[in-house]
Amino acid sequence: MGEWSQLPKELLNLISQRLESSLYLLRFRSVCSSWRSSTSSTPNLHNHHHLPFNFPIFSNDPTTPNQNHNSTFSLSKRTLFLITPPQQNQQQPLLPWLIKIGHDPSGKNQLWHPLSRFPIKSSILPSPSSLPELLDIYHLPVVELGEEFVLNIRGPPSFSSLYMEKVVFSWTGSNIQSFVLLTIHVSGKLALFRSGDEGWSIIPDMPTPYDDVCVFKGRLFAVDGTGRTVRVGLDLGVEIVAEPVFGGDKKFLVQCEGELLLVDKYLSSGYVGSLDMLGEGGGDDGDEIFELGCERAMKFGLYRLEEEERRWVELESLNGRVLFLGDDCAFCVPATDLCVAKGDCVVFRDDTFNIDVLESGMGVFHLGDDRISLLSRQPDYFNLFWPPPDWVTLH
Amino acid sequence: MAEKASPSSNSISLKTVDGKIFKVSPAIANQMLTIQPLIKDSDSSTIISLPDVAAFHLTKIIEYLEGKPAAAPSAVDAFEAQFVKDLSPEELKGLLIAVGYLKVNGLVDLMANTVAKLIENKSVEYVRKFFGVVNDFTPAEEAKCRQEHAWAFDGVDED
Repeated sequence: MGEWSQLPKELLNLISQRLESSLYLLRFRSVCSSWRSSTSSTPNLHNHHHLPFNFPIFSNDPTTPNQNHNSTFSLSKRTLFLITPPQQNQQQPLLPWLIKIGHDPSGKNQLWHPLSRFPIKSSILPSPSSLPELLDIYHLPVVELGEEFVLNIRGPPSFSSLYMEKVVFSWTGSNIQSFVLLTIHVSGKLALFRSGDEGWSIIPDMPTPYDDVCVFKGRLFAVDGTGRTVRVGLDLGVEIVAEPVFGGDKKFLVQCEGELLLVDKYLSSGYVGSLDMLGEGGGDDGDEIFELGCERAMKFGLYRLEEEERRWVELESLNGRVLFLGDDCAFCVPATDLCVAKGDCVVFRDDTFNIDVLESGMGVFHLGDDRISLLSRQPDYFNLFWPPPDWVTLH
Repeated sequence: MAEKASPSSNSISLKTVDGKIFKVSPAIANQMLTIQPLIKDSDSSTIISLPDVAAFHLTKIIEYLEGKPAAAPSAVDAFEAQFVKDLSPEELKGLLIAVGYLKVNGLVDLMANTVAKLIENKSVEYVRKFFGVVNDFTPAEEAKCRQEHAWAFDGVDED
């Protein structure tokens, strides 16, 4: 061997184009000088500036979605990483670390709660020195699990600075400048913005309000509250790809190993404290006054898209994978990559007021026995999140 | 596309760098874009030499072109996954060079994808070791690579 460095440049370039993230491209360029020179541009881990920004904002009225406000949207991207230990020590296996990294609306690089929209705050740190100021991943194997996009509203302070619906972004075609954004308008309809458009287009089709949007194999999909799933075309056309499943209360679309999954969340009106009561046979009613109004997950249903039959097929297992269900991004990871025993579970986060405690409102749903346990009662899952393992900063 | 003829009457002879001759149908040969222009002018006595392709690689390429299902994308995915499953790094490299040289329909993409998948998630050191690539950066270049890999954080919100 040894001639991998002598591969024709166009082949090296072709390989580099197949890498799915700028991190992987960065790695590719660091292997040797011929690999480095086969790629034209320096990818930027903080590729904030490569993303388009300044979109028109849309109003709550679907008939005039593009009223002229003095504000615009900017787009920022956050990426979910599984950072794995440099070397495994047989006696005491080191565990990987799950973290979301990206920009805040002002462009500052931040660590984020993996499953929420909130940055990690210093108040949850065990000590001020335990947060890495510089994360050097040169020697660390890193898996990119997923990415999420956030629209930030720039403009008069009377606006909330964050648009709270999930947004998906996709480059379209070979033209580096062409892209599309898809989100759910406050009316429950789909809102789409294509590069070059003057404003957002609201798609009229809506038997039931939409719940979630996703990019799967470069195509745009959306699901409504019944599970009815459509593929959204760049021409604003929608094509039904799966009939409703009804079932639970909120539907999510998740890409998992080349398949599109539907997660159906069954909710019960409850209280933030309610999740903590699980397994304890009761609760403390005294908390209700402060925590009324939050809904918590009771169970989850999982389905796989059978595209040719235009239907969702219920799943009884995730083949040893763990599904993470975040506010803006959901992703699947094999249990073996996470060093957890079993997999076949959904790690989720309920809406909670207590946003500064990372594990607040977080639970694990076990597929086999339809059981929910608190994240904090599942040390193998709990330890994936926070604080970062020692080896992240020690090497 | 040429009219349907019995494969034996106008099959194309391809000679690999290690001296083996393969007879393939025009339908197969035509999917190797590099040799397409040569096929038109060839008759049954013509032998096309392939300088960058060994018999092992041509066997694999023909296996791919003959075996690839025309039907559902899921069947193609399964076939392609099986096709690359047991290739060693050395075989991958040879096949990549061969399909790159021949410009084989679909297979160039598959090979590039396969290599990309092997690289993803791996540390730089692992990739060098796996592919037997020597780090030939100067200390200054090396430092630049490392710098590109570092995330700097502006600290955390103080609440």
